[in-house]
Amino acid sequence: MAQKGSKYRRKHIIEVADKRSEELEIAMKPYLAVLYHDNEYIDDFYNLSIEDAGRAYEMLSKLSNETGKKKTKLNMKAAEKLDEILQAAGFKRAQYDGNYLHKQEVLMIRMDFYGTIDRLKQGLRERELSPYYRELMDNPLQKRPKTVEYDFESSPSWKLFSRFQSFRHIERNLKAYLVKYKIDPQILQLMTPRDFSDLVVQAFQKQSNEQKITFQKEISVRNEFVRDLARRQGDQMAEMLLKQGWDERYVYSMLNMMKRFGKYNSSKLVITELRFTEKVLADLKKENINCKGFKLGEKIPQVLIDSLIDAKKGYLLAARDENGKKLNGADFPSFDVHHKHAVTDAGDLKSVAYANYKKNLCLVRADIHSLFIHRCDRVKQRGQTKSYSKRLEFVDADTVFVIGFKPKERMSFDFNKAKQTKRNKIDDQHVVNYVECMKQLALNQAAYDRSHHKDVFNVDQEVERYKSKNYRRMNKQCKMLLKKVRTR
Amino acid sequence: MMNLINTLKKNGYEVQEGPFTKRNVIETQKELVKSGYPFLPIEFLTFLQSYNGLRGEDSAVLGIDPRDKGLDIVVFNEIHNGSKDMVILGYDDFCFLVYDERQKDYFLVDRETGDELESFSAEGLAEGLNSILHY
Repeated sequence: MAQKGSKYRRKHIIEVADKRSEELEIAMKPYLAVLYHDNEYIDDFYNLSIEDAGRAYEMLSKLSNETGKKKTKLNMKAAEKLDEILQAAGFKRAQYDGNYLHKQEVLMIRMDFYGTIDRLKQGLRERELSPYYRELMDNPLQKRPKTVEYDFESSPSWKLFSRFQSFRHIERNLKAYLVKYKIDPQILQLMTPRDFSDLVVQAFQKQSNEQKITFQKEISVRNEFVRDLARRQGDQMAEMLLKQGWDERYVYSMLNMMKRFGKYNSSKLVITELRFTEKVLADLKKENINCKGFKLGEKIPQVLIDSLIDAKKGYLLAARDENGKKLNGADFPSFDVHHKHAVTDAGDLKSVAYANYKKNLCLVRADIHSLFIHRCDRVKQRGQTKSYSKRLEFVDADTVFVIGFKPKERMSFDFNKAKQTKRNKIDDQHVVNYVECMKQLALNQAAYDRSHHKDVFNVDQEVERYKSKNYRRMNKQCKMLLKKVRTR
Repeated sequence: MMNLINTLKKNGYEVQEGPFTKRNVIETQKELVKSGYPFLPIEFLTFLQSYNGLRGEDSAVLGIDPRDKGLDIVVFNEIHNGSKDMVILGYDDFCFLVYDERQKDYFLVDRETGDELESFSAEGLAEGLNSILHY
């Protein structure tokens, strides 16, 4: 043992004091345990709240990415810890080539995913839509063209849309709309992607003031994923959530919505009782619903739950806490569908349509999605773009459901591969390059301008015109000056 | 804005049980400004009177001290906002809805690259919210 007053004793005292202050800091900020502890930091990480886990990840990520002359031991240790923690949570750091998509392509993936398109505000139509589209839509032909005259395959912009199955399915509707309103078939070669979005809005709107237009005829790509996952793996999902301690009434109400509609969000979920309570029986009686056959404590038939929800009377079965207050979805975890392959980086994929494939989607607890997986997403100063490099990928590519960081809190599932391969083959036939399509569109528009004798910008002519104008002005100024001098 | 609120009601979103107080608003504005972000636009505060923190499918509108703590506008901006001219009002899996104080405009910004995907005018909050919220 070190002697009193010796340097070893002093060192020991400092070490003990440091250790105490560390533990004090950890008590205040639990995420620091992952940074301070050299052993068992994975267990420390598992015990953190999702918010603190995000903080620990961000700190380690920052430390490991510090750029200086030389990487310090601390930086290297942080990188090592980060990799181990991510591995334990089922993630790895993704490396991308930066093959970014154009914003129009990102918007197309978004439209395909949600199955909706937003209407352009009236004031923005002139700015956002091409003059060719506006002119030809406003001036229909006298005679109705034949359907065969509308060659969608010749449209460079439509080729970009037709990479997605959901858009290929509505080609016939768009054609019918153009025929009905006698729109010049030439329009297809001149339309920009933005114009096509507007055409879809015009063709699918039910009311003229509808802001969000649904164009997918059946279920959207996003909802289909959630529905299929809940139908196939619902029991395991319920088991995982119940093990985490969530109220079974919430779990089954949520899964029921997912199985039926592929939709669920905590803001509008009606959490229903699973068994008849006195309140439920009384409420049903008040609404004159025959409940003679129902007994207190008996399971509520699923048909009754579904029919009351469909009739917007789900509140009659509302689940309540011990104080009689309705359970609120906001007090329970919400879920988001996460794109496993970064959408912006879908240029890496053979077809951008792959981005929305079921195998590239995952249902994640919303707080893990926002506070951990997308932790490093940042809004930057305008003009500072194309700079992201941090993104997490799942180690197991088949991960489909995540409710925590422990292995038992994530689930893998392989959707039907045979069906997927068939879809791949079809989508592969529609692969096109955005830049090439836009070049073709510019050529088409230039050809249209020439054939319609519009003013085409010609740099040589413009320079000559400017020079002669300027020459005349200068000449005039000289003459004025000479005249002034002479008169003096 | 009323159109959007009515559409949300039709789609099953019940309006706020107990709206926030003026004091909450002042505290939140203070917190945002302290962190260097601009004030929240008045039109957005009007929307929050009906829906203070709202979740759609993979999407959300943030709120002032909302019941769903994952939607707190101050916390969310502290994590995801690296700009001092803009404040994030909502998000989906593709983008953030931001308000640019300098330009007095609303934008959809790619959440991974920060690229501007869509822009809305100063009166375009309802369009922006409608675009971000999938219900």
